[in-house]
Amino acid sequence: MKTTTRLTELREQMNDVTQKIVDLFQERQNISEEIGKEKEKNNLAILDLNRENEVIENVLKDVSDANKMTTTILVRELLALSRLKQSSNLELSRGNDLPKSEPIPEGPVAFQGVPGAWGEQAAGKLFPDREVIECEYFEDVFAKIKNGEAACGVVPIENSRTGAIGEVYDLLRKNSCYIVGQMWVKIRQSLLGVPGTTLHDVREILSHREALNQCGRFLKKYNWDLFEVSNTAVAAKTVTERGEKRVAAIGSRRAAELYGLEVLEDNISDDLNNRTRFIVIAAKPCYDENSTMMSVTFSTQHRSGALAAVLEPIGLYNINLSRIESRPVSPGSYRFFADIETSPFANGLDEAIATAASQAEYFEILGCYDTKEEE
Amino acid sequence: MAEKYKLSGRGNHPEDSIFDISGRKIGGGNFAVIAGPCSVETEPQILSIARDVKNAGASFLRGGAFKPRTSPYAFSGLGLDGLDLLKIARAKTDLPIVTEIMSIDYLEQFANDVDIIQIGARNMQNYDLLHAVGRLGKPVLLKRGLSSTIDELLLAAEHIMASGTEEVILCERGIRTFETATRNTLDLSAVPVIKALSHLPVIVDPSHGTGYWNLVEPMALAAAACGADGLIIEVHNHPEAALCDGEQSVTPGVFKNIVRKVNIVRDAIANA
Repeated sequence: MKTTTRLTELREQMNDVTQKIVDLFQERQNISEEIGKEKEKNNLAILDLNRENEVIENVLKDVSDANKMTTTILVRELLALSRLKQSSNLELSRGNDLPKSEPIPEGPVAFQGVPGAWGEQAAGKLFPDREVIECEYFEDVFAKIKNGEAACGVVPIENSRTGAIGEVYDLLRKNSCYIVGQMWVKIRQSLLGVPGTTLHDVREILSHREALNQCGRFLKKYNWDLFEVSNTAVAAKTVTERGEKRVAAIGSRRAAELYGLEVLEDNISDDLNNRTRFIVIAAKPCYDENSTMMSVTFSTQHRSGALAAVLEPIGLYNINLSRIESRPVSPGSYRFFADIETSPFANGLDEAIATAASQAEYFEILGCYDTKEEE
Repeated sequence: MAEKYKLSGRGNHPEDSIFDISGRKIGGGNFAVIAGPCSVETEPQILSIARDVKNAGASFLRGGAFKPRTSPYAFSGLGLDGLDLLKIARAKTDLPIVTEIMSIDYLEQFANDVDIIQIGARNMQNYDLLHAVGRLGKPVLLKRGLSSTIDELLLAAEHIMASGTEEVILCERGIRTFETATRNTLDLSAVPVIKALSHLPVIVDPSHGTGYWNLVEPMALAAAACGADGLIIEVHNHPEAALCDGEQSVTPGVFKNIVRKVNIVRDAIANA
């Protein structure tokens, strides 16, 4: 790039100022460390919001209106980095420890539903040689892992069209299971009825809520009554049991075969590439050198910039945040779930996660894992 | 003369009782540290504190869901929502939970969800509650009433045990005296007195016993030195903002140092 004498001169001045700022920053961090010790001695919390607001207010008094916004950003950052310094001296885990690696335990795999469920197919693809355990509810999958009946479980967490499966996120929040693997599974939903049924006969549709949502465009064409059941395969089984032409199910072709139903209309998902992401959960974290994903969950305080402060260290370390989901915990309070594309061994990851965790009210690593795509 | 303390006394049970509660031992040389906030406030609050106290060496998590408050206008706890949050904290840390029961209305939930049911100082002589909780057969933490004698405390334990519960832990939490410099007067002499009479584990609550965070450490050390089987300490990550009893709560950093020093005192006495 072209340069002028004046530009060189200005840049030199700029370098001097930068150096001064950096030196002063080091000095500030040293004072901050002393403050941290004094707070610990006097039973005081690290975060003092009133004090932080006071600092910003005082600083802004002599700043021109045009520079108020940028100065606020700078000072906020200084305050956050000071908090980080103070909490790192506490030597208490802030939930940022990378879980220790162990192999995925041998043993049966739990899924929600009955044979023919998409969860069963996902479990079969991920663990072809393992025994599977049927569970009535998602909650039971978590319970069976906790009590040792199942070595791991396979549950859906996200659909390519309809988004997050909220219930599974809430169960991840409430239980102590880790995510140890994942697979995107093609979901080809079909309309299933007892043999000889035509579309004219159908009056009622049974299926899982997610499946009904995934086929919204197809269902709109008909004036059918829609009924939610716990699982697509449970829907297929019920249609067989009732044996009436007026009732049909939305589910997999495999469910049709298993329960002796006919495919009345194939591939009725709105999105012909409809896919669902299934995660593998286990009681202990497991990962290997192939892991490419890390999932974390955190909550923040209700104040401006709180969410950005948690995410910023992840951005600064050049780690891609591939997904963020927010779930309500109690009225007005939320829990975030984030997926980041990183190997657990990446350089600088420890520090990025520790910094992010120090900015959160609560922070937890849910697991590191490899991602598989269905062939 | 028949023994007054049939079940809690040493007459029929000369050895110290050792209880194994959800995998954690207490009594007969097993020291238990119960720690957590006065009351469960929010999910991040209880989850962060639970993790911090576990890392600092606590063996049980305490937290109030139903709070007996002197003033009817004070925060009285989250109720069953608080119990749910404690269960999440237990799932995340594996720390068994200790929480106070206020009435028999929620007996079933406490029976299913709580590892140690606490009967507070104000309910020590609520005999219907003692019998109802005693019939559950679950471990009980019985706190000494603010104006109760040691004899009354042991007889209250007797009520619980006679109803069918073996595992009763007694707790000295300060008594009412003319002294106003502290919230209560922590009666540490109760520890050796009770231990001479009873085989039940005795723990000390230096938080309620003194009412001030800076007195928690010295009295915790004294309790460990005088033979207590454990401590129950209020820990809050933001004492100034605590919805209840902030002035007697210690931060996780202070708590960590207390546990470290308590272990030094116990080792010193064991090797004396």
